[in-house]
Amino acid sequence: MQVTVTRIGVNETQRFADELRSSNIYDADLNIAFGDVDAISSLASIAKGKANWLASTSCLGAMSNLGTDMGESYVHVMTISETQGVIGVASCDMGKGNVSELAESTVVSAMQKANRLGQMPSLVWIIQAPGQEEAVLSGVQAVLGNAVPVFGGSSADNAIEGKWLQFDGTQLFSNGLIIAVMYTEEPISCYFSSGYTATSTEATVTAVEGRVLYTLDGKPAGDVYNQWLQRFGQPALKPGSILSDSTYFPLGRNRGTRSDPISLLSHPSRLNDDNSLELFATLKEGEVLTLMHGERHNLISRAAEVAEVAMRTHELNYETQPKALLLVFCGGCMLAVKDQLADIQRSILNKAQGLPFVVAFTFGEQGCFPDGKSRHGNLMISATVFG
Amino acid sequence: MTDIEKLHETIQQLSYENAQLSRFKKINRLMLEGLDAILCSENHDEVFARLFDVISDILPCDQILIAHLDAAQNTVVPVCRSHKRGNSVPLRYPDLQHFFERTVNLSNVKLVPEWRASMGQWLPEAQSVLIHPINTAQAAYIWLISESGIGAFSKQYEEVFVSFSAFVANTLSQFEKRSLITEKEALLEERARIESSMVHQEKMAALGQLAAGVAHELNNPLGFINSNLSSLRDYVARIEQFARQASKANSELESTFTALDMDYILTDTVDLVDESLDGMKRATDIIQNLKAFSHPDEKTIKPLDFLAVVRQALTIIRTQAKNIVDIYFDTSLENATVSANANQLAQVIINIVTNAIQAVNPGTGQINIDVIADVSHIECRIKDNGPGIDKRVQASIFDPFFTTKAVGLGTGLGLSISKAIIEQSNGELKLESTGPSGTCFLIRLPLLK
Repeated sequence: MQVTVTRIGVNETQRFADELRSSNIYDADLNIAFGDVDAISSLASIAKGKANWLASTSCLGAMSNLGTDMGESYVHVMTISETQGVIGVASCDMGKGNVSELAESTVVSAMQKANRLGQMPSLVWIIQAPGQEEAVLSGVQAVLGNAVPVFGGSSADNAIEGKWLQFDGTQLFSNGLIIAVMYTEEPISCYFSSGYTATSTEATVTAVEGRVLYTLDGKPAGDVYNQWLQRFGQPALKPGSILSDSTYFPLGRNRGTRSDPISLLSHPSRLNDDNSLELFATLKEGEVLTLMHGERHNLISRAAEVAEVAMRTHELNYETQPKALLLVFCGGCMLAVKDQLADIQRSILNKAQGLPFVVAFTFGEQGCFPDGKSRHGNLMISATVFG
Repeated sequence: MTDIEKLHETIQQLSYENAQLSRFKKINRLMLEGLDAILCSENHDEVFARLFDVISDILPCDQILIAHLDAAQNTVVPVCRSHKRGNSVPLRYPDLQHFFERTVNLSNVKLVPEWRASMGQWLPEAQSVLIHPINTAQAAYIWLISESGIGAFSKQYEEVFVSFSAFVANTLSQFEKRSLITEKEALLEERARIESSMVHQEKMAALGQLAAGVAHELNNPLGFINSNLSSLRDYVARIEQFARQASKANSELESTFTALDMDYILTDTVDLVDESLDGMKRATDIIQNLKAFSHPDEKTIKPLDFLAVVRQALTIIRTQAKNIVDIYFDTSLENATVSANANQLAQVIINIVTNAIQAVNPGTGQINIDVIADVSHIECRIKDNGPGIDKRVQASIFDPFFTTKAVGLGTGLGLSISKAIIEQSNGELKLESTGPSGTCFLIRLPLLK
């Protein structure tokens, strides 16, 4: 397996096309690419029909070992080629039916393209528009079971305006799902982490519709959440986007045991006028929500630490040097520390020790928890090590 | 809060790393317990059955099945399974060939169109199946591990199982190689024994031909010597009668009769002729034995009850053994049919028992004859409590003309003739054991059904 990372600016169309052509990108088994909305739009117009792509918009652009986007439009492409095995890619428009069923047929289609129908892949990597991640996961797991590691991220734009895009090599979607099933002889290791700490503050969901939370313990969710923040010395939030302000105080749902908790995080994104809260994850009535807390400096250092854990485990497990790192970093977390992206990149470069890497900033993260089951969460960081 | 958050994160990381590295612990346990299973098993079926227990204990699954490639039939056949569910119909090898080449982790067999008509017959309840080839030095197998749920076998499970399978294949190959070496050594020993036996038989055959020739050549002169001696004895009797009557009728002849000591000469002449006739009888016996050694009578071989022959021989011997030795005959068999010449077989029993009688101390001697049978042979052991056979002569006891008895007391043909008679019936006569507490001869003959 060969893995290379390329960062190409899209402002000059001809130069962008030339650079794509001159690299080995079109001969790849799979290209995983991230950039802002302009970058992915440009990529789709130039690279259409050429190679398999798992491309998505990333909040404020993306990051790689070659640089961090600071308002410029680049695509950061991780090119995987000469794989010992096969990779199958399939996609669908999630607006065209039941999402869970669409996810089922898409993963089957990806397996067919890999000529491995019915077989367990080493890894499933997903890119999708935000909103129905749980349904997508449910569809994938209906076909492959819970033991398959599913990693990925939900496309993001810069200001939660629904401008996110997905590109599979043939189509550019705004509400798309792209699934890659990887059957490789080369080992792949993954790690999924949140790092937030549970507080003793909790309440039960009493009214919810999908991702809109109306009441907690029978009281308006916005009021309850503001009371919790004030208890921790934070100002009460006003209606509107609260994505950045709520980054350090997400809501957690325990998916482990009392003695060995596994917190699945939900990120409040908006406080509505009716005192309801919008989140980036679907909740159910009766679920207990715990107020979680995280620190800024931990957000900054966490990406490098997650990368280090994945790389260390990979080396110990397989006695082989990794070839590349793919990181998915919660866009909400990134927005909270965007003035320190250079520090984040520096710390990853330091841990990666020359390894090429790409970081996507997403509005929802999927990954495998310590109990072996893959879930959708918010404010998470994942690392996938290839090679 | 910061420290707690960091600590929480570190615990998460350690838990993750511990879970990831737990595969090594599992592999080590599998190898350790797998090796025990292989070491204490006698054959492949037992190895597999024990390995199933080991695998089920460490890697949870519903069913385990092993199928074997029958290269001659070009089929794959289940040879061992952990549960009885499903059939074991042979499947065409070309349809399954790829499973003998690499690991296949089927997470959802419903998506595999050919599954139901193929291995689905072996594992009808399976939804997830992990298939892995095991190629040993002598055989090719595939393992199938199944679960009734979808996507049951994770990559980590697969990696652990593949590592363990490689270990099993390697260990089984080592054992097969060792078994081959042992078999080869046994075959070489058998070959050396056969070669030695062939040399001995050739020697015996040459000796038999020589004996037959000598017996034939000596038979005629011995015949006329015997005839002449018998006539001479008759003539001498008449000469003696004449000489005695003549000497009594004439005094001159009487004094000459006395002077020449004719009375002694005549009496001694009769004794000399009688001794010569005894010698002739012994020579004739030897000639008959030589004939028997060179040509055991093949034409009179027929099915007979070995036990009846033993009882008949013992009736004859007991007269000879009276007051010298106690003879016990023991068997739980009702009959034991073998193919042999009854008289010659009785002669064998008599020869061996007679030797035993001569070996034991009169008064305290004891001879035990036991007859047992397995599915294909009868075994008759004739044991005495004599002083045993001297180590220096053990190798020669079946050689013709070898005897430890005084000159004139044995021809040295008894055991060699006995061996020839038993071998004539495709059996075996051997000295099974000998020592200060006694000697045991074994007669082994094919059992007729």
